[in-house]
Amino acid sequence: MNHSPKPVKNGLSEEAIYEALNKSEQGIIILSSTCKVEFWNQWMELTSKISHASAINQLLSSLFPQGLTKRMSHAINMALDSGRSSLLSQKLNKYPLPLYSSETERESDNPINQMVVIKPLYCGNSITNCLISVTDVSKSVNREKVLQEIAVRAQAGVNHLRNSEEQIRTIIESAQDGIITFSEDGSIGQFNSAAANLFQLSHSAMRSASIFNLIEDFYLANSAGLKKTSQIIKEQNINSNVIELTGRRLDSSTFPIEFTLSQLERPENPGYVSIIRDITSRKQAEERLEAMAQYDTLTGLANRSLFTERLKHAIKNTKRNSNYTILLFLDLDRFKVINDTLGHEVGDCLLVEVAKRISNTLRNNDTIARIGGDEFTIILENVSNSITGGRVAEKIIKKFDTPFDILGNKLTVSVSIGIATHPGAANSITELRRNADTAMYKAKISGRNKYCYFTSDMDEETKQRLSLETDLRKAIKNNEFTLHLQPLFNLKIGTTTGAEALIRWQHPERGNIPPAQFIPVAEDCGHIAEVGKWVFLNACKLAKMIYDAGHKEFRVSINISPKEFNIYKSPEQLVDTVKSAGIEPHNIDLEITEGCIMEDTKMSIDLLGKLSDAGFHISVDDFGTGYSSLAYLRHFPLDVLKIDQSFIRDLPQDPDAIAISKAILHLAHSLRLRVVAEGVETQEQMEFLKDNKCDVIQGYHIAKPMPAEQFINWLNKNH
Amino acid sequence: MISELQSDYIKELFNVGMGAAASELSELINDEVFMSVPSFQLINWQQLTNTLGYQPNEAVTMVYVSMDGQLKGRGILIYPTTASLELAHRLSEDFSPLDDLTELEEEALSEISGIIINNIISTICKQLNVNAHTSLPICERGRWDSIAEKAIDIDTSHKIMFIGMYFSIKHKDLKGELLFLQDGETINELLTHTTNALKKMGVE
Repeated sequence: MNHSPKPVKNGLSEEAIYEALNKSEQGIIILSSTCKVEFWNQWMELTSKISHASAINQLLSSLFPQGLTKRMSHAINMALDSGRSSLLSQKLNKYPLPLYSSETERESDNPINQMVVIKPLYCGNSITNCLISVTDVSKSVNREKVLQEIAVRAQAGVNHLRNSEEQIRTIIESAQDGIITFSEDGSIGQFNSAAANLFQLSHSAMRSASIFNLIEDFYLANSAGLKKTSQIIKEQNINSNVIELTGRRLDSSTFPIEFTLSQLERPENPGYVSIIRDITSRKQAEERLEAMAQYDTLTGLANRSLFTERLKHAIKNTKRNSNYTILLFLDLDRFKVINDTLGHEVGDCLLVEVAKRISNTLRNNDTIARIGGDEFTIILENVSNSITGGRVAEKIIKKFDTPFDILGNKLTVSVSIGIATHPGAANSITELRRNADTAMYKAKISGRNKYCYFTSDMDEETKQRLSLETDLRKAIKNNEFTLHLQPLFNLKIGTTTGAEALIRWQHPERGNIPPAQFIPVAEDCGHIAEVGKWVFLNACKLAKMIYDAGHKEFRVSINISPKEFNIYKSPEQLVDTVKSAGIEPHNIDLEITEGCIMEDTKMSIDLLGKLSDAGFHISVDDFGTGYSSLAYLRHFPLDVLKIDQSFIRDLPQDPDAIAISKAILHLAHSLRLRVVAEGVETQEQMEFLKDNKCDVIQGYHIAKPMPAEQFINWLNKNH
Repeated sequence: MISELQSDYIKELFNVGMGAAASELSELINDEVFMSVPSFQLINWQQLTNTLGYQPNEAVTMVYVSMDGQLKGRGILIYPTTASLELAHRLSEDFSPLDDLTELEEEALSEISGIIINNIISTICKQLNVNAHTSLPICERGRWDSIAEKAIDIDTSHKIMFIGMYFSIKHKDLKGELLFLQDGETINELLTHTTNALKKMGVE
């Protein structure tokens, strides 16, 4: 077509306008009032595969096999009939026209996302045409998709964050420990209920509180002028380790806490997280444990470990200030008897009372410890004079004069005290303690209810004792013991009817060692049972020898040691030994000291009864040296009373000795007991005793103890 | 002043227009759509702002359609933003966590609002026997104070027909306000026609 361009408006030619519409990036369709296509631009050709030529003059609905949607037809009608403009959005109108951006999209039936605008076109006042413009909104659709995905992911992130925040909140809330966040100026941010409970604050009070008022250590630092948390933690040397601080409540009361601090990672606004644990009960438990570890639970006095600690300390101080440290070692006399007869409850109560009496005697800074059953130690520190130890010991002994009233029992208890001084013989704690112990032992063996200073000769004694112990063991094995016999002369019939078997130890180096020296050692070191067995067996053999020599009614007396007495709990053993020696129990007289009988009276009555029933004679040895009364003795199945030689020694001159021996003889006879007088050395003594109806005498006046064979000869001569 | 009868008649016009719109929308979204007009008022700009009660900074969405020809003015639908979001999301039929309208959702909202306003305009034109052509619906969103005057675009001394309306789409009740802004002449003509129509019905 070759025609000159026809100007339309503003100098634009009709052709230029046509070209512009044709090349638009939108689909442009112009319909006639009868809905026939009058314009079909290139974009429409490309996307619909319908050429301009094929579209022109065709009904729009006829161009597409599936026709037009109802919404589109309605909009076209409304535009042509009523001048309405319509917008067909992509969301509400899926693919109004089957348009494709490429051949591939067409094949996979993936039409263009469209937004369609339908408008009336006017010529003057009348509607002549309908304009349909189609916009590809695929990019918007994609953008929206991406946006949706981002939003979904963001939402998921938010949800996740919210969940984990919720979780963390729950964890924090359920924590037993108080958790508080706070800032540089001390103001509190977040906290859990445990924290509010810890400080006994409501949540709102907690929110307006400052950490400086909740931690005593912070409070003090803050009051001293430190206004920033960072200054305080630097000054208090608080790092991220767990430390022990003091919590503070509104009423200014305080409590121990365990405090863990971490710094929040936000440099622009420094913040802190603290975990706070109330450790009141733990502290109390620790204190109790510490006390238990250092103090005796019964008496509340220091125990052995604290005693050792204090003694060590005291000795160190002594070196520094050249004063004395004095150690007193106390042991209750016959405590075992009380425990055994009245029970442990009474024993324990007594120990508590004893502890109180001792404590009341001392200065506050003296240490008293209970280091064993009935053993107490006292450390007198920084003493200028060593005689102070004796004064204190005297005071304590005097305190024991008053009987103890324990659970309804009036108990008279005495105490033996050993004293050792530093500086002195001892160089170490162990030596000092051993010396005090040795001195105590000395006090005990020299009569109890006494105190005794340690002296170096005691040390010598101790050494001797130790070597005796070792040698005793060998003595039994090496047969170093022998038995001597001392006659018992019957005054009534004027003949010897018995003899006391007495042990002798012939030490290979030290010669003859008296029983008074080695028997206590044997008792202490536990050899007494062996020694006792040996004595009993050999005495029985001697009795058999005498019996065989023709003295059928002769009786051998055997001393039974108190300690041994406890070991021979079954009398059957003694009977067996006697019988296996070939004699009968009535040939044997068992001599038991009164102290031994009185130690466990109930058991004594039982055992002595059994022995007596078996046929043994029972004698009470050393009568008068203990505290038993004759009246008490009548409960025991006894046959003989042996008056101690101390009462005989002064006869017949001393009126007291006369009175006592007469009284004993009279009372013994009234209890149907025979009486043996020990240690008779003179004719006068014998006469006196005879006149006063004493049954039997023993002593040098008759004969010294002698070896078995010598004795038998003597007996044969003097019978 | 407008009589109760006139008011009832105009309300009825809107009801008819909205009925047509509802049926067209139902078909479009393939679900039930209900619309109702509970009130009709002829008020000025000041009264309108008082009645609507939006805060100056409150987010609102407006869709308006301009009309020209024998009937001049603007039909405007105002939605509180939350309601417009809800409507758009429901139309999208897929879960969207977005708290804003996308471009395409805005277009869908415009299309629906356009259908409502166009149907009302068509009903009025038919009743008044006048011609008017309409523009494409335009959506504006933002703070009430910044978009109100721009969308309403009218001499604030003019009378405004204010219709509060409820509609329910996809089982969700929504509330919107429909405004018709006309110049005084158009409103007078509308009222005259109303009077005539009432006369014809013999109810004046």
